[in-house]
Amino acid sequence: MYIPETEALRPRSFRRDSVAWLLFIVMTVVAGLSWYKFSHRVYAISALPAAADTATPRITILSFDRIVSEPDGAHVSKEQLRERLSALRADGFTTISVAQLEAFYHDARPLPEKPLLLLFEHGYMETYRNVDPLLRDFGWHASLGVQTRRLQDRDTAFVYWDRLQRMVDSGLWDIVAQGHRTDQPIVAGSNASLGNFLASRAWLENTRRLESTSEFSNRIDEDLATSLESFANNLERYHVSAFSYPFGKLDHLTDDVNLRSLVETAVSHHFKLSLVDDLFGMNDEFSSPQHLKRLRVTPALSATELTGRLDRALHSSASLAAEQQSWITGSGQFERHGTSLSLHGSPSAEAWLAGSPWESDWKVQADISLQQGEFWLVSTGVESRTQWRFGGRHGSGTLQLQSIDTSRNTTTLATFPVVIDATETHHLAITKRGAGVWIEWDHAPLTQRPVYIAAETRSLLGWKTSAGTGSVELHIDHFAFTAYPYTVAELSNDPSSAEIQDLIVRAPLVAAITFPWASIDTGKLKTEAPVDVVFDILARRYGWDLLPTVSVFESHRATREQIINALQTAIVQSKHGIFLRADSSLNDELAASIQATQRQAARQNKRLVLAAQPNRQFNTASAAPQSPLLSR
Amino acid sequence: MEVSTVATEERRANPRLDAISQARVQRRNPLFTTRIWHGALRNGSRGGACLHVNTPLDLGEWIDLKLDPGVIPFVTAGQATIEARVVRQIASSDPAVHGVSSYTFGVEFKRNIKLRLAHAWYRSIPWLVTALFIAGVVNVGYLKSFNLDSFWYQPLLNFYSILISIFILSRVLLALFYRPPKNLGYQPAVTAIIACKNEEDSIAKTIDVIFNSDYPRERLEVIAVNDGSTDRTLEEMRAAQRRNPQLKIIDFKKNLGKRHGMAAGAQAAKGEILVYIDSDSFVQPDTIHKLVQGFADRDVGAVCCHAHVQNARTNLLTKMQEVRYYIAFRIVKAAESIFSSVSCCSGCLAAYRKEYVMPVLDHWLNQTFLGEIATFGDDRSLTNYMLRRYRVIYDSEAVCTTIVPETYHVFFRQQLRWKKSWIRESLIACTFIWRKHPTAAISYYLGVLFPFVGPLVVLNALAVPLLGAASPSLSYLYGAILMSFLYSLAYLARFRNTLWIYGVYFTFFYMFVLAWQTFYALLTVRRNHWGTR
Repeated sequence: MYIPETEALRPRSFRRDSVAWLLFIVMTVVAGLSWYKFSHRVYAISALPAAADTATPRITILSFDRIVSEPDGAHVSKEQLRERLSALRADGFTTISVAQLEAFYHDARPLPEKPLLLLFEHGYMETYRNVDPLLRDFGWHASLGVQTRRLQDRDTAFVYWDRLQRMVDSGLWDIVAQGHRTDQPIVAGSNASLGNFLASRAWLENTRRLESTSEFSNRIDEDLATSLESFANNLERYHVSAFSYPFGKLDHLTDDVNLRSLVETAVSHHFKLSLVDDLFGMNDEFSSPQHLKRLRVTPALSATELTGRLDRALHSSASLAAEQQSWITGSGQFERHGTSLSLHGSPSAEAWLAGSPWESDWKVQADISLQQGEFWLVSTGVESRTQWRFGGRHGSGTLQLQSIDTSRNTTTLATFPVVIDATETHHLAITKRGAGVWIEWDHAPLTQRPVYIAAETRSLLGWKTSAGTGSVELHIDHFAFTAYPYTVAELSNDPSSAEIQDLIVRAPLVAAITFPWASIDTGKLKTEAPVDVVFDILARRYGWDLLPTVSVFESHRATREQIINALQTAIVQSKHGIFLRADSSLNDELAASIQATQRQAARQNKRLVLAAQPNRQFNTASAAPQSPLLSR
Repeated sequence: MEVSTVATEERRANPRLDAISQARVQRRNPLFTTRIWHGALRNGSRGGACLHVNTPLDLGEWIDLKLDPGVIPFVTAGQATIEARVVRQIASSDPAVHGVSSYTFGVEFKRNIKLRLAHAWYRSIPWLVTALFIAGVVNVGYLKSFNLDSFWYQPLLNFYSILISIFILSRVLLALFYRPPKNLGYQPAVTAIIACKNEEDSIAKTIDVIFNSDYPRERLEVIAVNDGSTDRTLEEMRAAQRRNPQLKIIDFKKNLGKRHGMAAGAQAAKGEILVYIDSDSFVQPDTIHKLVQGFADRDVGAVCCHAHVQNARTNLLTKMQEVRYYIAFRIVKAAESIFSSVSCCSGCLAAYRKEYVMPVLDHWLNQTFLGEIATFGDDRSLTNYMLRRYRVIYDSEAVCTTIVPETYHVFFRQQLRWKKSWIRESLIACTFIWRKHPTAAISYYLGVLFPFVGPLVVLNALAVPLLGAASPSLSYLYGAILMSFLYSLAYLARFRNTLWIYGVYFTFFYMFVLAWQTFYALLTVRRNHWGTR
């Protein structure tokens, strides 16, 4: 095929063609660069405040499934979304990014007032097409949940890497991981039954057994690692640091505490933040970043209802009049007529009080009339999902105070011989102070002393009824929710009988007791006196938190790191937390670290309460707190 | 007696087409209704025409003119039978019109509703085609937007899909801008060369038609090369020489191959322009004159003609080839000609500047490929030699008709031979085509890539899903139909007959059958057997 290059055979170009090539190359380069710049154009979004607000921000997280072009009843449509975003903006909400949320929890960076994180799950292409123009119109930020298996399968119904890159480059979008194959069911039994990827042990056909704990853990870990690796390999200039559980909450999928723990451990190992389902989607600085709560928005929740629900959930229920309080229905039907509430359904009904988690100490009063089934006033921990509840069955002859652990095991803490008359209305009053619960029935106390409960400090309050096979009906009148300040009573190291007697008299008004215990001297935690068994007995008997006092003085010459380490050690050693007494020489730097330690303590369900001191910067237990938990 | 009517005035007001077409005449006269006379229509318009017939007709008599499909559609609007009235007798002055010459009459067509509607439909076809084409292009653009939007899901497939759509549409759009070389009255000395073997059936007519050309006889040289024929080809040549003494004959005692015949003709030629004509191709009187106009530009090394299919309506195969030929010439070659980069001057009729051919003649004659002498693809090969250094253009007005294979066996052998030469010459051209205009160069490289990638895409889109119990890609099928439809619309716009649909049929014939021959051609490219015998 070789053709020798004689003159007659030597190819040549015409001038016109050479010029055309030059123009072609120039136009191609210009067009290519222009398209690249256009497709990667960046949108400026609202800037963050330079300093924190005076109030601890309460962060709302809303999640949406697929956003469809036309309403279909099952998914929020584009126009419906626009209505909701407009209502949220009018209500003062401002969107934040995942990076900003992460900086808030890990570096205590400030957030705007009423911060809002929008999450659109599963990475549908249709969602992107419908939401992106809205974000550009609003100048708002949002996150897209992505399951990397969809991209590996090149399913055109889901957003692919090229578009994801443009999305993150635009500045409008964040990416939240949802695992690699977490949405795919697995074979979970010898009969080929299917189970949830994250919540079931897989059936191993080759060995004819369920996978072991370590195999389960490895599978989950490998899935999350695969997902992160896909992101790292395909997304430039971006790091995925948040995980959104694709099916909401693990405890709704499995009762196996061990499996849930393994999954949560794997998630926390790979991600800085993780998101779970919640009735209200509210979080603050004391929320665990590995358990941030999001509210799933459905078409049934109109724009007005959404903003109303969020507004009520943002504030303590105690700050709202009865008719303004917001109840969120679980199962069954919930009706309100003025101050009267009623729950009915078959076989169960439940309703939850918005804003109740913000108060750790409170009193609830109500006139109840139980027509059928059984009723319970329930307090559910927002982080651990442990519960305690008071109530009983119609005609059983007793009322009970029970606790339910994370494995759904029920323990009866106290039984009261009370008959519930269906024709009569009964008055119920429950006071929660510290670790104790005081109960009154028909204006008479059921016990002389409170029942001691090891409960989560933050709990969602609600009513539940159930009837087994029949229907239930519960009427509630004159419901009142009163918040109490967290009061800490100080005792001496060796209290006298009179001191103890005085304290017992004030027992219903006290949430916790403190006594001298340790100091931070030359950077180390020095125990000055062991915790007297008397204090423990008193705490259990009268339902008080036990907060031994730790003292820090400038004369002890401890560095900031030493002080914080010592405080963390003290918190770990304590039962319910510590009471910190420090002098006025503490500077701003230490104050911020103490606040961070308070947050860490809260995630362990413990408290770091600060004593009142002159020229102090912090709120104290004895003063009325602006934010309830700063009184820890 | 001449009958002059308002209809006659209207007829004269209509544009006339100076073409001769066969017609069968059936008289309405009860005495003659069972008899058919052969006639010829000439100088026709929508109002009427001149009718040459070998029987006397009565003035005012009504007759039925039965016409073959495709006959003067401008006049007949595709109608197979037209009623006409004899309005006057004209003294015939053209005795040699298709062998029928006794009487000449002026006939007036009956302008009934049917004919009027037919004419209205005929006039509307270009508008309809334009609208359909625009709709088709918009539809293609819409489909390609999905390829672009989901590009990275299947980048190779989407890239191919977008590219081939751009390629096909660009051919049509570029062809819209094509203009044939202007008639500058350029009349260089021309040597027409016909090299053939065993073509006794057609060689005489081919030679006679050349001599019937209106090109100045003193500037026209005709050389016939007998390449070792074993039939009566040489006798036919000599008979033609007796009719046309200017004919020169070169006789090979044994078969040396067409390339040698063409080279021998070139060496013996005295003309500036070498016009190679296949033995089964027939030029029109003005073909040679139009063909040489392109050589007024000194940079032009070769000019390609436009070939019609002589036996278009014989069967399904020839009908498909009819549309395919039109597309290949009037669309594809026209698009290439915009950039003076026609890739192949078809062997049926092509002209070369002798001054540029002679320096490369030996090399072309002794061309080898993979160690084997190149014995076919002479036209494409010689075009490549010209394309290296000169412009190669297409002239849509230089028309010839050619006979295409009527049986699949002959057709496949012809296609195999063409594919082998295409493979060889495409590889050679790839080494220098990048020097041409970027549109031409990129199109050329894509044109080399698509025949290999296309069948695999078809396999992936249609066959592979079936193996996996899934449904074939309907979007792919729809896209293929749409693109073939757009191509075929070009034929419909030009000819306004029903053959356009065969362009769509050919697309599927190519997609499922012919395209796979490319791989066979690639595997057997070193075998030098000829086909089409």
